[in-house]
Amino acid sequence: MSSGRGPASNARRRLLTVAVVATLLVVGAGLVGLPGVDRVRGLSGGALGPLERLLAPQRDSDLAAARAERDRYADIARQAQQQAHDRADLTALLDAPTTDGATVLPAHVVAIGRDGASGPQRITLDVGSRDGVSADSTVVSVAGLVGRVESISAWTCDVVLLGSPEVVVGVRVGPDGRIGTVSATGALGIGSSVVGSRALRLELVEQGEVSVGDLVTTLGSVDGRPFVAGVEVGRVTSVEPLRGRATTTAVVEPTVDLGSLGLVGILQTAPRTQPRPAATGGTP
Amino acid sequence: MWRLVVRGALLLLAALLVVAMGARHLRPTPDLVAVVVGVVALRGGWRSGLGAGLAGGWLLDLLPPGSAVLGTSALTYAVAGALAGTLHRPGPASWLLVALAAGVTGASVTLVGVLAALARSAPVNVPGVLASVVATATIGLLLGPLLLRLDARWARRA
Repeated sequence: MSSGRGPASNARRRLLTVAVVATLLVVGAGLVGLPGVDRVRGLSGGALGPLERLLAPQRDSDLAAARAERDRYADIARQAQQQAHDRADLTALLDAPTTDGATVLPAHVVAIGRDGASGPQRITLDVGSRDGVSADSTVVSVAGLVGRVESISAWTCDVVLLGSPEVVVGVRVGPDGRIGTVSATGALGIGSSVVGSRALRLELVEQGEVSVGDLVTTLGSVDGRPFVAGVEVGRVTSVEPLRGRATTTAVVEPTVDLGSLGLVGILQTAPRTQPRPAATGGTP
Repeated sequence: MWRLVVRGALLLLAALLVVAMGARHLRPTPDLVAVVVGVVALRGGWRSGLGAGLAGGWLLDLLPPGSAVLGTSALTYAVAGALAGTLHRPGPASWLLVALAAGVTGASVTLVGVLAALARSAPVNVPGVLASVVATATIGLLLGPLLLRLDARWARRA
């Protein structure tokens, strides 16, 4: 293939060149945010998502597939065990403070993208537009914030995880509720312990007191998209000396262990339809 | 033609297994796509490696959850495949060379990820990254000769 000189080899060489140029164009379109790229993602999700659901860890619905008669009773026992496990997970999720008062759509992780240098950055869940999932919904687990829904196909959706380059979360820190942002960008160099962990970088909007152990929760977005308010993000593990900087920075260890995610919840929020009533000052 | 179909099927299977293994929390995850790309590159040279890398990378870009920017995996694997193709020698390849080709492909892809993370001062999971490259080379050592034989058989049939 590499050393051929015939017409077929020339055609192959031209095809390869066209493919490389087309790929470069797609990357360029993606980087500048041209519309249509996400549609490609949705179409591929629709076509390839069901394959992933087949290869996903087996659950009760998968066990319904035909099996040999001698394995039947063992399967039934395993199904009951799995259902009990799923129920326990679901109960824990619904009882967690992160889902308190929210409408939650439970979902299972069916695929985890190839690890980046800092670990997994994207996952696929087994629910999609037909289950009522919409873009930019908050995804949580029992422990706290997982990420946000980015693209959706009919039966699956892709979630960008906390710690991915695209995810920057507005947060409140500590008992005073100081406002800042949390992202993976810039986390290296704050402390040597950062290498080898999924530590995040917290940057307050201005200088302020932050202590080790302070709880970091989401600030919240308009209509709860992409992040609803009050979801646990992590805890401060070290605070960087100011060294002339205008803002306070610190390292946050996420509360969610992304390496063991199983059942997660998609928080479904609806846009506000009622105008907010004004209040009069001085009244109790 | 059939050889291309077989290579495409192997790449699709490898890509599916990579994301499925992740969902089962199997760590370290070997980069099976890099193994297939490395084997193709070793057999066909840098241009075959580039083509296989481009195809395998596109599969990872399109297979949910995909990559952040479509086409980036394709370009990364294409470069990695072309690099592994420089190991191409006429005649049968030794097992170690197959493992080396898979390792070179996996390491090149990983290196791009590490450089991207360092460029934005993001943390790098050094033990995880090293373990993944070693796992890829090990799978290359175990599966590579089998894939080489399969590819050679389809080449003869073609």
